[in-house]
Amino acid sequence: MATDPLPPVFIVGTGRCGSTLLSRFLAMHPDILSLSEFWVFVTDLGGRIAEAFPEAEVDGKELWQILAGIYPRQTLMLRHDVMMDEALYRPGPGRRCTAESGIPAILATTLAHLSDDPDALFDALAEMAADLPKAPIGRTYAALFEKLRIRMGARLWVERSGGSLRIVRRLREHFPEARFVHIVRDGRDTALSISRHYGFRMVLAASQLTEILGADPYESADRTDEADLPDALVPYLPERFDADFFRADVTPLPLAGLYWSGEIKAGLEELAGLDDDQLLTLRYEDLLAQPRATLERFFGFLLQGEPGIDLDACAAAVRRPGSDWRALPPAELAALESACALGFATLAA
Amino acid sequence: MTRKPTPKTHIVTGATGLVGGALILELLDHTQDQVVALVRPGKTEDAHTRLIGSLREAVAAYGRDPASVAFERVRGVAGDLTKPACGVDLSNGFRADMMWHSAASLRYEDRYQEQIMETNVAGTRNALELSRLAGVKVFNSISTAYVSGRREGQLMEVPQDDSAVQNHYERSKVAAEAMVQACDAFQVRVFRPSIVVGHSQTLAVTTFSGLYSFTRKMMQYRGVLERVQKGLSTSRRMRIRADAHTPLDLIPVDSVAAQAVHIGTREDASGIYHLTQHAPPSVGDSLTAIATELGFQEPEYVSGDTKLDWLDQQFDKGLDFYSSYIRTERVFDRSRTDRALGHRADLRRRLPPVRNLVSWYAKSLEQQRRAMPTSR
Repeated sequence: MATDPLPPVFIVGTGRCGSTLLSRFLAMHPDILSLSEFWVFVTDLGGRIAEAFPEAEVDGKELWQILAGIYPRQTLMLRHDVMMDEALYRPGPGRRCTAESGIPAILATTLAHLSDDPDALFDALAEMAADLPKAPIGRTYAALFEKLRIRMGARLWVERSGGSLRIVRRLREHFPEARFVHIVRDGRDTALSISRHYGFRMVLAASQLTEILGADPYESADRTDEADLPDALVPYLPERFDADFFRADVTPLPLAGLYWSGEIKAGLEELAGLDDDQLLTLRYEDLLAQPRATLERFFGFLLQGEPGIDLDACAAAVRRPGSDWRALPPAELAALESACALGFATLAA
Repeated sequence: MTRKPTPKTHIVTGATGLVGGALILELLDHTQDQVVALVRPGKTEDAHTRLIGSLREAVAAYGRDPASVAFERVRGVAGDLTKPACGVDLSNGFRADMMWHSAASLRYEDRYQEQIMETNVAGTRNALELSRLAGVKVFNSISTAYVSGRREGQLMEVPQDDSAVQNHYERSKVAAEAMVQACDAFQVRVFRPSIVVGHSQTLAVTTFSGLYSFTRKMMQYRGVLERVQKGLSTSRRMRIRADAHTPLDLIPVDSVAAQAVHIGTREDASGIYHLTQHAPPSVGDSLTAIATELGFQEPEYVSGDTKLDWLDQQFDKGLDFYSSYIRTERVFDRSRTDRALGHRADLRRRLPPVRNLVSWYAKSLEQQRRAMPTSR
């Protein structure tokens, strides 16, 4: 077992950019504690970013309230059976949580990704958190992850969440020692994938609802400006949630493309200034075209040396996704490319 | 020696609304009459308490000294417009001289059709019934200049049918007007304000429709753009489907109340009165003021939707209700109103710059929305 610890790594991206595949490989690596989708669920799909990074110092018990919180967006999706595939903890025989009870944020994927008995790991982690002293939030998070890393016999912890470019500024501020892997995928394919993804459907609808209502409808009962909602958003209100509508709905491609562009631009600005040993940028298309070489760079960066994993086996598991922007009708493609133009220009600069 | 007029009793519906509240203050200021306001009780307040709270809010908004307002002459009674005789208890011999029916639903979307019709059409029927049972002689109804729907050109102070209406709101107001005008039990006046905006001096407003809902829509659009892509609202020039040269008829709430009460308390008044602006600003100037005040670039105005990109189209979809206001060239004739007002220039209050009205509202809304979750 290796003992010399390494600084943690955050794998960041726009979401739907191929990072989930990296988590699969991370989970296979003996020296890596893979924290998958931690921020996605702790921020309740981006609705509780400020709450996940409180300004005041927190101790272990207060941290645990954040991690073990049962949050409204994911609970709504769970109860209506529209949870995204990335949520690994599914209620059923042998599981403590039900759709009615909801699932604590850290249990939804992060712990289910690490253990066949996530409920037991959840209890063990609660004990680990209990005696953490009061400290700035980043240090308290890091202290808990360090305990888990040591328990798992890993050299470093690596967190990866879909759409985490959105919180890069906070990650750099709260985890100054952390390194970053930025995975980038062609905006057109990313947007296509976003448009069909339940999680992003919820995120982008919730953003619109929040701005129109002036309050997060999943956290607040304030409906003062409900009359301002367009008909297409009404079925997303928690009290009127229509699962069939949700399943059949599609996020417009230009909206997904604009989101991708915005995340790339803001993300690159917030990653600026990191040295080569602090930031690795990977192209998803390179991972598809040259999986072995790309994964070698990836693991080499993480472990600052030998990959320590069977790269050929990992490379053999890389599959080309089904959707492709080249199949879009010309008018749709033109609108999408226009929406993605800023992102491409930013990447080319 | 002149004899003092005998105090009358006025019933007011919609008293907690923008126009209704201003009407009550105007009646208290310019008559010695009693005012009975129909108010739905709140969850924790009775009708009178709720009314006084709402009036005090209006008094503060309009920069008035509360001590100068004769609150002792106004009484809130429990009422519900959707019930027969507005749900008023008539068993104690309730009588009144004049009705001011200003309650209305200002919604317009299909999903609110039932509520719009219930409030604006059935509500007017119930207000007429209450007036008849209470012995009212004069029925003053607050309608809207936009019963005109799609009609263009010079629009006279005459009845309109529903052949040009564009949404449930306009249809309901046409139906309500027709019902009032067909009623021969009372002397009837129909007041048609255009887009009612804040007080001419303080800019303040107590409810937020018309210009304010448009402004709010633009603020919401800005917020959505910024959540989707930081900087998106300021980095592009939006296109709006509107006729920039069309007048946008805005009238301060105190002007509406002053003119309506002056005409409504004249014994010889009857028929339809346009409470509109003599020299309204243009749609282009007004929308540009709204947009730039909210941080957008100056919009480009286009006539068709083919020039709109996907983002412009999303904003355009929300503008159906406003098409009467921003895409229809028309002038509201107000000859009858001007004749009834005579030389009372003091009743024609100056319209503040649109930018100032918008700025007042934007600050107020941003203050309310401070607790919105961050997006990054």
